[in-house]
This record gives sequence, C-alpha cells and structure tokens, in this order.
Amino acid sequence: MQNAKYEGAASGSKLAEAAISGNKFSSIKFLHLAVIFLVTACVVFPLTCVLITPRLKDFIDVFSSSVWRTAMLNTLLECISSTTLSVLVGYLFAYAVIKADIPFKKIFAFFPILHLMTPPFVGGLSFILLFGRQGFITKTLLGLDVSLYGFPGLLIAQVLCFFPIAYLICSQVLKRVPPSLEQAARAMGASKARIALTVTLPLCANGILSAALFIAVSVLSDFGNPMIVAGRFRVLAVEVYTQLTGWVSAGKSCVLGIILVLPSVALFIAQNHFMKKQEAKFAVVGSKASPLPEKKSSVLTWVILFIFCAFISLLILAQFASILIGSFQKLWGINTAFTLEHFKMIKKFSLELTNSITFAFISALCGTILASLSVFFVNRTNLPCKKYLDICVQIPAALPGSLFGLALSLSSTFLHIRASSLMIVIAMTVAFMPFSYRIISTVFSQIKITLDDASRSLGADKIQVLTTVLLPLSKGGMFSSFIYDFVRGVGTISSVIFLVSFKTPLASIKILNLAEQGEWGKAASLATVLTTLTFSILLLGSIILKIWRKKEA
Amino acid sequence: MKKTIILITAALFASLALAGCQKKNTQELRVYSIIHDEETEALTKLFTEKTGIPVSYLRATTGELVNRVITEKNDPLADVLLGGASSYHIQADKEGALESYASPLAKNLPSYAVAQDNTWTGFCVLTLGIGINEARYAEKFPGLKIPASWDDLTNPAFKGEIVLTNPSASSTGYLFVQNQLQRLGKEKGWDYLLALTKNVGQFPDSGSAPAKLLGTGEYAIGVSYLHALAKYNAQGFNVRPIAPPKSVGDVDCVSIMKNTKNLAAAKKFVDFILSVEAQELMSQFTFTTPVNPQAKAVKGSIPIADIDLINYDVQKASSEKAEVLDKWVKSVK
Repeated sequence: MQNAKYEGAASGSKLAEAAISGNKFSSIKFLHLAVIFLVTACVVFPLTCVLITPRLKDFIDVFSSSVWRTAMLNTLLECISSTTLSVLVGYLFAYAVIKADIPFKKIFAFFPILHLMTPPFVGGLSFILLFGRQGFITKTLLGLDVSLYGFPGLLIAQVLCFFPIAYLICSQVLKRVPPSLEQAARAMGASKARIALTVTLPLCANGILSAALFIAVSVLSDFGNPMIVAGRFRVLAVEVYTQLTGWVSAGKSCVLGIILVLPSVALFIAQNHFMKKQEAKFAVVGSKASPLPEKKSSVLTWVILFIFCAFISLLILAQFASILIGSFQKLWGINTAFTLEHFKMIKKFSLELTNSITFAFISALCGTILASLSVFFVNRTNLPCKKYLDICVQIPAALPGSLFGLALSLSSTFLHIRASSLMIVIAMTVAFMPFSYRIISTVFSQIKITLDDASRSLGADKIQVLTTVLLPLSKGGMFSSFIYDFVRGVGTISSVIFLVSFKTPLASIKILNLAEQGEWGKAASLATVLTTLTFSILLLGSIILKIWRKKEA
Repeated sequence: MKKTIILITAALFASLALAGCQKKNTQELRVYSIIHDEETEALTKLFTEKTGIPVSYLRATTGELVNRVITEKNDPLADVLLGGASSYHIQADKEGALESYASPLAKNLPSYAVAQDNTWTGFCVLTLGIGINEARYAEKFPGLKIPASWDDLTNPAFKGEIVLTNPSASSTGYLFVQNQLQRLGKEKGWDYLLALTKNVGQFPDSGSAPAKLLGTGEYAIGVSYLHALAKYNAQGFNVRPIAPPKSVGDVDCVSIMKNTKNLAAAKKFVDFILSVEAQELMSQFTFTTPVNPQAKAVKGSIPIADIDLINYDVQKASSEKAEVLDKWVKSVK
C-alpha cells in the first residue's frame, strides 16, 4: 500500500490516507486480492479456454470464407439501429416518468421492470403471436398480410428487449440531475422543452452514453431475438450459436466469438475514454438542493409523452397477455377451449422452479457484491490492477451467453470439476455482472469525491468510506442491480444451456424445451408460474426492505 | 464491510454445498435424451419397471448434447445418448466417444439402421415430407392442386409461402438438400434447389421449426420430417402431411458412451429401446415408424407402405458436406 503509486485524480488527501493505511493494510488488501482472484478464475480462465480451443484450421476456414462478411455488415447495421432506437425509447420513457408529470407515471414506471422479467422465449413466441404473419396486431387488428421477419422484426424485438436497460440507467441519472440547474434555467424564463433539451439532456449525457454502449454490446451478443425473428438476415451472434449446435464445431464457434468480442472491446475503450472526461461534471450528491414543485408541461408534450408510454406499456402487456391466455388454452391459437390441464402439470417441475430461483438469487447477490467492490476498487482507490479489473468485469457483456457457457464447460472439463450448480451460479453471476457494474459505477460517479475526502479527513479508512458513505448513498442503484441480476438469472437460457445437468434442471431451459417440442400450453403455464414466483419474491423483498428501513429510521 | 464479507462467504458456501449435493450415483443409469420429453419420461419409467434400474435423464437439443458427449468423452457424465440422426452419431463416433455394442435385437433391423462398427443403432425411421396448412393454402391458392411431389414445389405461384430449414444450420435441412442432389443428380439437383429457394420465405435454423410455423398458419407450405407433421395433425393443427415420391429416410439412433462406468445397464437400455414394447410406446408419442419390424406403428402415423425412398448414400452426403454448403451459401439469397 505504501509503495502504491498515487496517480490518477482519485484523491486530494494523500497524507491522511498514507497515515491510516498502515494498520488497515490487511482487510482491504485481502478483499482486493479476493476480487481479483474471483474475476480471474470466473472470467479470464474460461475465456482463455475459448482462445486455445480452436485449431489453426478453424481460423483459416472462417477468414477465407466470404460468407461471414455479410453477417458482419448485418451485425453492424443491427447494432447501430437497435442501440439508437432502444436508447431513444428508454430515455423518453424515463423522462416521461421522472420529469414530466404525466398521469399514472407510477404504473408506467413498473412496465420496463416487468418487461425485464420476461423469460426470453416469451419475447420470441409472443412476437410471433402478435406481429407474425398471422399475428394478432398485424393481421387481426390491422388486417395486414405482411412478413416482419428480417431486419424490421429484429429491430422491433430488440428495441422492446433492450429499452428497459436504457430506461433503468437513464432514470437513475435523471433522478439525480440537480434540480438547482433546472430551476435556474426556469427562473431565467426557459420553457420546459428548452430545459429538457439544453439542461437536462446534456446533464444526462453520461448516463445515456453509458446506456448506449452497454446496449450496443448487448445487441452484438444477443442471439435469442435474431434467432427467432431475423429470418434471412444473418448476424454473427447467431452464427456462433449455429456453429455450435448445428454443426457441433466448437472451434469455429470460438473463432466467431473472438471476432465478435473485438468491436465490443473497442466500444468499451471508447466509453472509458469518454467517461473519464465527463466524470467530474456529474458529481452531484453532496450538494443537494430542495426541489421546487414541478411546473406543468405544455399540453402537447404531456399528451405525446403519455401516448408514448401507454403504447409501449400496452405492447409489454400484450406480450404477457398472450402468454397468460396461452397457458389456459387447450391448443394455442387453434383450440381456444379453456383448460387447467397445463397448470396441473406444474408440480412436476418443482425442482426446476426451486433451482432457478435459488441459483438466480445467489448469483444476483454475488454479482451485485462483486460489481460494487470492483467499482469501488477501480474508481475510488489507487490499488494496482485497476484496468485489468475494469476490463474483466465488463467483458462478459460482449460475449454471447452461449459462448461464455461453453467457455465455462470447457474449463470445468479441463479442471475435472463436476459441479454443475457451481458452474450455473458462476455463469449467471458473470453474465449479468457487467450491468451491475455499469449501474453502480454510474451511481458512484455521481457521488462527489469530496465526500470521500471529507470522511477520510474525519478519520475514516477506505473501507469505512465504502461502507458508511458510498454504499448507503448508492442503495437504490444496488437494489436495481440486484433486481436486474435476479430477474435475468431466472430467465436466462443461453448462458446456462450447456451447464445444466441431471440434478440441476432449470425452469427457463425447461420452458425452451417445451416450446421447442410444440408444448406451448405447458411452456406458457410454466412461464406464467415462474414469472409470478419471481414477482412475488421481489415484492416480498421490497416489503421487507421497507419495514426494515422504517425500523432503522 | 464485515456483513459484506460474511454475505460473500455465505453465498459461496451455499453454492458449493449445492454443488456437493450432486455426487454421482453409479447405480443409476444416466441418459442424454434428444427425443421428446414426455416420451423419454414414459420410456425410462417403463425401463425401470422392467429392470429395476433407476434412470435419470437430461433432455436437450441434438447439437448441444452431441457437443457434450464429445467434450466429455474421457469421463462421460451420461451413459447413453438417446436420439439424434445417424450423422450426429457418426460424428461422435469419429471423435471416439462411442462404445460398440451389437444388441441381439439389432439382427432383425434393416442394414441402414445399424452402424458397421455397431457404435450406434437406429430405433425409428425418419422420412422427409411436405406439410400443407390447409386453411392458409385454400385462402392463398384457391383452386390450385395441393403439391404431391418435390417438383410441384417450384411453382412460381408459391413465392414467399414455403418454409425450409437452413441446411447450413440443421441436419434436417441438409438431408433435404442431399435428397434433391441424389434424386436428380448434381446439375439438375442444383437447378431444382435454386428454383425452389426463390419461393422460400424463411430459412429457420431448427429442423422442427417448419412444422411449427405451418401449425400456426404462418406459411402455407413447409418441408419437414413426416412424423412431426403427422403429430401436429393428430394434435389438432390444420396441417396435412404429404409423402412425396423419391424421398429420403434417416434413423434416430441410440448409442453407449465409450468410458461409461455403467456398461451392463447401458446395454440393457439399448436392448429395451429396440424391444417391441418400447418401440410401440415411442410411436404413440412421436408418430414415427418403428424400426423393429414386429412393432406396430400408431394410428395416424404415415404407414411405411406410403413412403417411397431413394437409395440414399450417407457416406457421399457426409463427405461432400462442406463443398455443397459452400455452394449453397454462395448461390442462395
């Protein structure tokens, strides 16, 4: 610690730190080492296994073939358009809910979260039912006979899938935009729209960019949506999966995965560069102004935002409705007679349901903790290996889930570890940790570094700064991160599909399996039960948290 | 902070404890199953009743399980791989993952259903056919005769209404391509394929997708395994299965893992799968045609007499796969 180099702009109170660090050497250093070790074992090692799997021939095969060029161009197009639209929708939604005083905003705020809970197959299947060639919206409501399979369908599906992420990040940021600046602008006579565009928006640039880059990487690695709705429009992430499951060619799949990671790493470096410059501007906590009562928006904005939110919410609701209705129908869309037979089957799947909930819960806990610690080490300390940690924690977001699952299974074979549940927990933790990392670092970056300095000059050591200042101030962000990890963990398919074993079946995989076998009624009812369970647990959790907070206060 | 550390440790221990729970029970037979979930359940239950050997199974898609079989070949988790077209078992065999076992019941089987080195044995016949969603067809092509042969599908009227599995992603799709190339010869075969693909609206990656898309009325015409179409038909979907002349067949296979510690039980399982009782049970679920000549296929499945097969050359299909698919990718779309 003493000989650690104090570079970077982290702190202005080096003397105090040096004086204290002597006796608190061990615990923080231990924690730091533990995090580095965990990240190395769970991220770097499996990826190394991916790197050494393909033979030279696989590389030559992939690079000498012209087939992949189209896929690469398609991927680029997909990435740019889906990201832009998702962020736009997510930001507008967040703005409408947080800043514009539209009616039912509390209910609207619930929908993106609800959507995050959708098990992946629900999205795909309900897309077919709603927007397919026989879709309820396209055919029954609009009377169209169109095929959305291909680029347009992919765009709709991905925007619906990823805008909640943008919403979550943007709403965190919007909540923390200092009202004093908006008030000042208003005092000078600026209109609400002008404030939104020239004050609020630039202040959120950090969050928006963060969301955009995160979504861009997620879009790159998304294979569920393109698989189902992209039709003849081929993208790289699907090719990775296809090579693996259709051709049983782990080598080529790994090569394509490696190609896919490169742009993600570039995006990631770009973001880091950009964020460094912006960070200081956005530190706002620690200089709070009491908000003035909001001025009413102009009627036009109000109406447009309301319709916008209602439209998106209705789409999300329609997806759920199709699943709910499907689980009570004898034969989806064909024999609409009411039945309970699918639900009677559910008790057979109790092991699957318990596993899904348990694993996702543990992973969400591990993911949130690991992400918070990593953010702390990277942004608030001068300990070594910052860059390494920063990159390792975020890189899984750039990998298609199935490739990372393959990486884990390769490494467990390599080490002769036969612990399917451990592998599943690691896969879930690692797959969704990048999001936790993003959201927590966004929250941390808004907590002024002067607060750290202040508490440290009052005698707190680094760990105390973390536990008594940073963590309590970022409770909201950590809770969002936990919810996200948990919900995605419950619903994930791609990252665990290669890891489930005889005693560790998962409900999400079972749903996919049932759907794939044409058992849509059962698949839908299992999805309904799983989603209800997930909701109830979260509800219970938030009630307990509320009671706990009241007691504390 | 202490809380956090305690939480981390607790979480890790919890997951480790869970992991510890799944010690391998050597008494139990472990099956990787590619066939239908309910079917696997019924079969394994019957097997346990008959032999007293407990079974646990894991059901997943072909590529996934074959992949596992290959990566785990030195220390297999499963004892038996149940299901999957012969090409996949050949692939696993080439990697040295399969054990040879000539079941006494395999003597009665047609020669195409048994591997030369006895590593895999077919247990039901799969044949390609044409599926029609009658409602959509009647609406789109009123008065047009329903296609009865492969050649009927190239009618330009069908543009955008045919769904065909992507041959570079699925063995079903590739089987279809080889069907045409071997039926018509190389040159005419390609002419046919290029004419047909102009009519194709979508190339899904999964072999089971066309039947599903027909069932929901997304397309009027599709190419799929006949038994899948027959099953959808029996379930109440408006899907009519058609067995065109000069089709090809493949077999769903069962095989034993090379380094299994449960060889005796695994052999019993293979014998069981080929038995008349198991074969008839299977047919009830999947509408496939049993490979054992003594077993009767379920009502509603396509009788073997209605199926006209060409003499399909598996070796040729597998040796020219890369070349054919390369040409496919370059000339289609």
